[in-house]
Formats: sequence, C-alpha cells, structure tokens
Amino acid sequence: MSIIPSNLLEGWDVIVIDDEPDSLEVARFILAFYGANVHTATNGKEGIGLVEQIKPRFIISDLSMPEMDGWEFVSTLKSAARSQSIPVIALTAHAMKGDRERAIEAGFHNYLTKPLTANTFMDELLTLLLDIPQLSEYLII
Amino acid sequence: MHFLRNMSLGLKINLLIIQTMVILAVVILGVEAIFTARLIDEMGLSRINQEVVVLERQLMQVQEELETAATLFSNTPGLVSAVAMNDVTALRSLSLGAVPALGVDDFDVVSAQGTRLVDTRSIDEAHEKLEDEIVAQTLLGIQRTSLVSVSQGKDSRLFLISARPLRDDTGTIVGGFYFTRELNDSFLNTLNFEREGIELSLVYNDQIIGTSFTLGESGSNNETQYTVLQSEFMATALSGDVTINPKTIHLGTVPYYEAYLPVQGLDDRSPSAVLLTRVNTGTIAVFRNNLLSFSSLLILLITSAVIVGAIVLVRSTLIRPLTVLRQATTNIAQGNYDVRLDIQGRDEIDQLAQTFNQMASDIQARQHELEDMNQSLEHRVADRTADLKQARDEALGLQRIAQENSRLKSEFLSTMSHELRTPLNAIEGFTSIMLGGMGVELSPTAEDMVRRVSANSKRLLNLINDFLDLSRIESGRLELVQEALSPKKLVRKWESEIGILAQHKHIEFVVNVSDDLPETVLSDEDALSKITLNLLSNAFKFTHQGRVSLDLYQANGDWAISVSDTGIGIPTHAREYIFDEFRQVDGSSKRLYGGTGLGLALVQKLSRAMGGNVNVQSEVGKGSTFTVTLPLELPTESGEGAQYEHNTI
Repeated sequence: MSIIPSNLLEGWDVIVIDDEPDSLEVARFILAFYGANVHTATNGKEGIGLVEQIKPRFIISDLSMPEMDGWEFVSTLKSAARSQSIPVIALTAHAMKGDRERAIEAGFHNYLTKPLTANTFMDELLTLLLDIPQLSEYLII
Repeated sequence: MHFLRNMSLGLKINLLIIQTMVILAVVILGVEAIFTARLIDEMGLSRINQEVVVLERQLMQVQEELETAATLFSNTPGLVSAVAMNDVTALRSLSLGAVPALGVDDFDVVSAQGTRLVDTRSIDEAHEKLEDEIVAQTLLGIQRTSLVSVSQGKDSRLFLISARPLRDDTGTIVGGFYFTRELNDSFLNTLNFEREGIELSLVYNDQIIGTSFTLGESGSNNETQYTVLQSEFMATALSGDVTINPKTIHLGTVPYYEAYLPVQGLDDRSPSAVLLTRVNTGTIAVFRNNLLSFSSLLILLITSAVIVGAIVLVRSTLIRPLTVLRQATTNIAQGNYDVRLDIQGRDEIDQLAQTFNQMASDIQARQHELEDMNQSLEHRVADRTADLKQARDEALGLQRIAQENSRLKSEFLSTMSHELRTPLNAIEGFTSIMLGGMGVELSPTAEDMVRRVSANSKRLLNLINDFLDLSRIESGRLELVQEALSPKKLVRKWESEIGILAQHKHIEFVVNVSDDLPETVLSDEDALSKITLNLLSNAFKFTHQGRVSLDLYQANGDWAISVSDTGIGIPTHAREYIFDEFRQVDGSSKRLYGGTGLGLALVQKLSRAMGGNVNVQSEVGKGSTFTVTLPLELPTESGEGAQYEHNTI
C-alpha cells in the first residue's frame, strides 16, 4: 500500500456508483487519497447522467442497485458509441463462481470484491488498471 | 402293434367281444360236433340193439306162425279121413281153402304110403329129394320145424320146414303134411318190413344166400366190402349167441353198425345160418349234418346277435359315458367349471363320473375361492396403493414444505448475511482507512481501539462468510467448479495468507508438496482454500509451541491435504462431534481460543461436496492431524482451466 504513490490517480476523473453510501464513501475516500476527482452516484441511472456530463477515465460500479443495476448500466453504457470505450470495473459483495466471466461478458472490464479496504483495494485496482492500455500510460508510477 | 394302441377304446372292446364270441362259437360247434358224433354212435348202437330184438322176435314169430298154421291145418275136420282114404279131391278142396292163408311157399300132403296127395309146388330136384327125406321122417311120426339147406353146386338155398304126421283115432299114422318156407330175399324183405337203413343178409356156410336189398345198386353197398364178415362174430353166432360188433364199420363212406344173429329151426339143436343185420347210419349222419349246419347257423346268428348286442351295450354303457366324460373334461380344461355329469347307475363309470363331479365342484369352489382371494387381494392392493399414494402425497407435501422452508431459510440467511456484511464492510473500510496511513490523525489509544474494532469486524465477517457457505451447502446452492489448479501455487498463496500467524506465535510452519502430485489438478480453488485455511487457522489457534505442517501428496489414487500440529490434541470422545456446527471441545476452550465452531463443519461439508472426506488423528497433549482426501482428477489436453463446470450440490 505504501509503495503505491499517493498521486497515482492525480487529476483522473473517476465515477463510483454504489447504493450504499458508506461503501461509496470508503471508495471515494481512498480514490481521492490517490488524487482522483471522484464523482459518485447511487444507481445506474445517476451514473448514466454523470457519464453524460463528464468523461471519466474509468468507472467502478456496484452490481445490485435499485432503479438500474450494474448490469443494465454497463449494457446501456456500452451501447452508446460515446461511452462504450470507458472501462467499467464491477464491485461485488461476494463473488459468485463465474461472476467474473459473466461480468466480462456483460461488458465490465473486471471486478473487485468487497469489502474495500485501504490495504487491498488499491493493490487490486492497480493490477486491473495496468491491464488497460489506454489507462496504463497515464498511471504515475 | 402300434395301430392297436392308437385304436379307440370302443373299437378295442368291440374287437375283444367279436374275438370272444367267435372263439365261443367255434368251441360250441366243436363240442356239438363231438357230441353229435357220440350221439350217432349211441343211436347206431341202440338201433342195432333194437333191431336184434325185433329180428329175433320176427324169426320166432315166423316159425310160430308156421307151427300154428300146421296145428290149425292138422285139426281141419275131414282131413284125416280124407288122407286115410286118399281122397285127393276132398283134400284139394280142404287145402285150397287153407293154403293161401298160410303164407307158405310150399304145401304138401302125403299118404301113409308116401304118395303125394297134394303138392302145391315142386321147386326143383334137390327140393324134391329134401322133401322125400322129410316125408319119410314124418311118416315115422316125427313132428318138427327145422331149417333145411339144399345145396346145388356152389349155391345153397335154405328152407324152413314144419312137418306133421296125421294120425287117426287109433293113433295110426295115416299120412302127413309139411309146410315149407324159403329163406330168400323176399323173406328177408318181409322180415325187414322193407325199411330203409336196415340191411339184412342171410349167411350160410360163409356165403350170403340172401339180402333184403340189392347188392351193388347202392353206392354205399359195395359187394366186395359188404361181404367182409367178422369170422369171430360169425363163430359166436353159429354157436347160438347174438353178437353185436361194438365198432363202427365203414363201407365206403357210410358208417355201419352190425349184429350177427343165429338162425335155427324151433326144433333144431344148433343154428345153421346167421342173419347179418347192419344198420346204415347214413341217415343219422345226414340228420346230424343237418343238425350241425342248422345249429351252426343258429350259433352264427346268436353270436352275431350277441356281438351286436354287446357292442350296443358297450357303446351305451361304456363308450358313450366315456365320451361324455372326455367332453366334460375338455370343458373343464377350457375353464368351463359348470359342467356336471348325469349319474344314472352305480358302476365304475358312474363312480368315475361321481368323482369327476366332485372334482369339478372342488375345482369350481377353489376357482371361486381363488377369484375371491384375487378380488380381495386386488382390493387390498388398491387400498394399499391408495394408502401409499396418500402417504406419498403427504410425504411429498411435507417434502415440499421442508424444501420451501429450507429455501426460505437459506434465502433469509443469505439476505441476513448480506445485510450484516454491508455495515461490516463499511466498518472494515473505514477502519482500514484510519489505520492505513491515509492522513487520518489518531491518538495511540484511538488507534488501538480502531485496531480492535477492525479485528472484531474481521472475525464477524469471517463468521458470516462461513455461515453463508454452510447455509449454501445445506440448501444445495453451493456451486463447485472444476478448474485447473497448480497445487504448488495454491500452497504459496495459503502460506502467504497464514504465514503471518506463524510469525506472531513463533511457531514453525513447514510446507511440503510431494513430487508425486501432478503439476495441475482439477478442483475448486475457493473450496480448497476455505478447507485448508480453516484447518491451518485451527492448527495455529490450538498450538502454542512446536510446529504446524501442511502436506500435499498422492494417496491411493486420490490426493490429500494434511494439516498437522503439535497442539493440545483432541480427546477421543470429542472426535465424534468436532465436525458438528457450533461445537468445540468444551466451553473453556471456546473462551480460551475463540472461534465460532463453524470451521470444521464447513471443512467436512466442503470435502464431502467435492467427493472426498476428512478424518482426524489426535493424541491429547501431543497434537492432531487432519487429513482431507479428495478424488484426483487431471485436466484434459483441451485445457480444462478455461472451462468452468458448474456442479450444483
């Protein structure tokens, strides 16, 4: 954790979508600690609204949410030409077998499991981000 | 003899009857033939006996008649004086009246001087000579009736002569007379009354001098054969006794019986001729033949009638009832148990019929019984089926309820777990931020407290996760995948996750992956990790010094994950329930060591869900070894790792 520079995401626009405010706040705090401009939404619909306003480097979205869940959100996002290239990382409470494959098939780049903690969240996120060519060049390591 | 066996019973019995009756008829005929033959013998013998008597009497009678005639004539009034006076005319008138009635062949009256006063006939010279002799004897006063023969060369003739002298009042012979009768063919015929079947021959000097029949005319009367005489019988007859030949003689084809009768004059001393009497049994034979053919015909008719009668009887009393019985049996065999036979008598067949009826009744009764039993059985089966169906429906209902309950329970648990996890995630998140050096200022006391909060929330989270896993397994919603895994990589991961505990407790941690284990195996990583980490954390929890070792190796075609420690050990009695949920060895250890008691239950359930098992070896105070044995499955060439097989348990 400490080996990740605190300005890793300096200046990045990032959207986090979660219907649980505390979970959202943990994610926001950690991402913000590493320099990101974190925009939050509590469901997929709000997320779509945010995407229309800003163009984030990546999106982290919970899967089960009211109004519009993560699956519908990613599907909507990927169906629009403007937003289809934005990487979306799924956030799940407990990973079920095959969820990763299902998520990737649905259009997610990858997934992260809850709980989000300071110790593991950034390690895992960094690993994922390094896999995304369009983002890895921006990473400040 | 096959055709005999295949013959119908009726035909056999009929054949038997015919055979018996024919044999009977033949026997009867034979017996009859024998008896008729004897009859002929007896008839012949009795006939000859009768004939002998008759003929003897006849012969005597002829002579007596002759004598009577002589006496009558001698008493004729005027005869003596006429003779004395040689009055021929008177004599002739006297004798003319008498002679025809006398029935003699010759009638002569002579005077005392020997002159023939009346001579009815003069036969021939020899006869005359004979008469002279008789006349002389008569005139000497001899009165007699005797047999006299006259021979002329080879031939002889025989005469019966009755002579009488005639005396006057003074007793002086004045003359005499005699009657002569020739014993010739006509005499014999008279003797025989011209009957047929009786043949008389007069034998004199071994020569037949007269017969009552014509020799040589009849086919049966061959002269040569006929003249065969039995010399011994002839001799006996000539000595004065009647002899009957006891044997049948055959002249040609005709059987005869014969008798030899002596012939002599009343005043002769001995017989001089023999009357051969033969009875021709030809008529009897004809009669017998007629009788035989008649009785044969009769026997044939009777036999035929008896045969027909017997056959009819057999048909009506044996074959027909048997046929009826057979038809009835066939009926029964075809399942028609109502057949009964009409019983009219008490013979064996009727008894058989009675037995048959009894049998039919029994069968019918048993059939009814069977049907009843079948029916009741069907009812019972139906009842049982209904009961079973009801029970099954009830069971299904209960099962459905149980399943529904189970589903609701696991849904509830799942929801509860999620709801519990969410705040814990938040706690974990915030405490990690506070302790993660992210610029949150904490006093040393606060940091200690936050650390405790974090540890407790982790414990609670682990508990909830275990709880959720267990509930998933129990509700059958645990999903296992078969992915290609490297045991060595897995071990490294587990080592890094758990190694910190070893460092904290200063316990040696030894890890060994056996070389005989393949590079990759097919298994479920999450399940394997949960199993191993649970066992390892338990081992570290109950071990205070010494070491904990993790061994992976191949065993009897399976592979095993073994965790050993030098800890406190498990008492024997406790080994039975350590795998139960919420059980620890005792309350004190729970307090001392913490934990929920879900770990080993989860280990066991996961091991079994993966087709394996877990067992424990332990010694109190020395340590324990938990060994999880799992089926060894290897990835195929196509690369199993990429494909997930979902096994819902």
